Amino acid sequence: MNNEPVDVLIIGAGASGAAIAWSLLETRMRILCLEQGPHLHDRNFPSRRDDYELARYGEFSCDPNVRNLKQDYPINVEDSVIAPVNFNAVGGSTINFLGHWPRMRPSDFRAKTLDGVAEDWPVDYAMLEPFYNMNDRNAGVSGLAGNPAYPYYEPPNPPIPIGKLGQTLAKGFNQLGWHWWPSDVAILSRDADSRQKCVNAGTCDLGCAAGAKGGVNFTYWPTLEGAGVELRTECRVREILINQETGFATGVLYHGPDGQVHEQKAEMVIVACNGVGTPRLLLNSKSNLFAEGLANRSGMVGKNLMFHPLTGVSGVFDEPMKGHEGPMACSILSQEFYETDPDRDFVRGYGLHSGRSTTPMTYALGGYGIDSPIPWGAEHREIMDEVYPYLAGLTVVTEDLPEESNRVTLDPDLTDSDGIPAPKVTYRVGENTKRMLRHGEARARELLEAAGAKRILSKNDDKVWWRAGWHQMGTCRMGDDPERSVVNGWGRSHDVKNLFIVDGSIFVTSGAVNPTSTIQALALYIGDSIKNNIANLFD
Amino acid sequence: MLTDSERKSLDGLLDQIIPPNADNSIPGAGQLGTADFVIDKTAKDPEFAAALRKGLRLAGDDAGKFEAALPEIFAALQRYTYMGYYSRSDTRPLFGVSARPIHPSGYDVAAEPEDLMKKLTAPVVARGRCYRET
Repeated sequence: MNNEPVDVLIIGAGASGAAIAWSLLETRMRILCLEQGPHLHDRNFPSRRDDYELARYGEFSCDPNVRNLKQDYPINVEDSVIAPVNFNAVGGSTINFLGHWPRMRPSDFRAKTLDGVAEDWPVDYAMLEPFYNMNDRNAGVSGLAGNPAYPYYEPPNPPIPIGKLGQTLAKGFNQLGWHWWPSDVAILSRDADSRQKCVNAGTCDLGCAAGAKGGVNFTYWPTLEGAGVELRTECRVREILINQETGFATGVLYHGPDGQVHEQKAEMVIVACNGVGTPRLLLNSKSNLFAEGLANRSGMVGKNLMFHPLTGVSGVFDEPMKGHEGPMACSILSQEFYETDPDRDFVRGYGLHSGRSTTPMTYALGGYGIDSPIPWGAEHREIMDEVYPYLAGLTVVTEDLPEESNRVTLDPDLTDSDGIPAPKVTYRVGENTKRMLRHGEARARELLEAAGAKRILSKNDDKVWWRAGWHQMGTCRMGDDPERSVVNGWGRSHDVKNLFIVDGSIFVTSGAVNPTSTIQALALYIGDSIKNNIANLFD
Repeated sequence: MLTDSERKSLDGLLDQIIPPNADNSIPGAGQLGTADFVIDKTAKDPEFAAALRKGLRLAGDDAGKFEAALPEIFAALQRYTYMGYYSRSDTRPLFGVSARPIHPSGYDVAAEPEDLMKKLTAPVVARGRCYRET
């Protein structure tokens, strides 16, 4: 294996690693990306098989503890009420994400100033806006211009169909006078960039064999590999190496597909391993200079883990909703309750996302991300015949506030297949979020009734969805204060001047929207900052 | 492998877990041969195989009795039954879902006409901006 030194070493070929590699292409630096997973071809995605739904509970489960493949690392979730989910391959979790693409809103970057909670970001919406737009073009985003919940922007493609389900709910929102809008999605509504438009298969989590979903395996990576970026797969980084005299990163040790440990030297290291994988790697990179983990003089590596705790409410309507037809993520999105309202018993807010009803097996087993099968026997028959076809649902997606007690640490015993210590997640849902969930559940019920549901199905308890840890944020947050943050306002470690972090771990707050569009916009912004500071990058 | 008697009990049990509908146009899980899927699972999991046999001995084809006696094994059996039954291409169309692998064809879903979207979103637009300036 050729381990000649490179200029830029990116760890992780997912959403953020691909975006920053694209941004740095024009520098003509030698870029290498190490990815622990393999290259998957779309012809091998499960939705081309007759029994495609079974893959959701096996090799294409969103839960690495269920997949248990060689490239997956186990996660100890004994002390968490939400299980982190991910995917390890070229494309990372964009292989099985749902492509829902709302941006964060201007207030999300100023929670401290506006609402007295959490911290302000060192960047704001206006700074990121050009990078949101650039990334939307690269991902092939579809949506409707003019959403009054945001400063004006135009998605590059027209919206995907909202379908009968979306139209039905939209009428309910209009009746109540609440905000809603067709969702932005990183899913093509028309053929573009040699990619096929969405065929409405409803199996976005199984890799999108059509290539319509904007996973970076379809968007950035073909361009990057064509332009000479080296992508080395099935290479798992064990630790980042540090020169103990200069304090600079010198490269990494990684386990290659040959089963051997290799050293790869680099001038600059960029970590893009998500909100669990990144703190895990830093905490595993201990040395005399960084006894508590690399870039962790603040003690903040691994702390302030944020998810988006979710709950759902469904309505049973008179006519079939055809919820299995169309992209899974969302057809419409309401941000009526997104901003702080002093009349409520919580700060910040949540979104109401219209969920589709998935396919029969997934529904019978409890729904996507939920392990709670519907009853057996006569009740099963009644639910599948009289409820399932007529369902339309709303998911309450709450903003999670950062708390240091919610964190990623290293498990003392558990390891991956290369013997590297695995992460342990400690997480509980905060009181503010619980109040939000209760409020959201009541509003969702109100909306479904307004939309004409003849029966409402909700859990009426405080439990959140178990496999809802898609969005892993905050564990290496950015900030201007080196005592309170891990990286600065452009992703550079406060402690190690040639180490950058570009994934969701650098989020300061979580917003109440799916984070991938913001993760990639940030990665592009950081790439731009690196280029702008190239003359004195490591000063 | 199960004996003929065990297989018969299992078929009966599965028909209770997912029973047929009233006019039998949607068959039950036992009728449809879902036991084959369950038996395939037992081949890969000897512990489950032994526990399933134990349950069949104790409860025969009585699902309620099986669940009361061995709740964890029954939960696994219920899960496998749902997986085996609903992953069949002859079952999905009974619930309005395509029989064939979903790619490459997917489903035809018409895009909403522009004037319909304008009409639907008009009340939202009329309310004006709904985000906070910073």
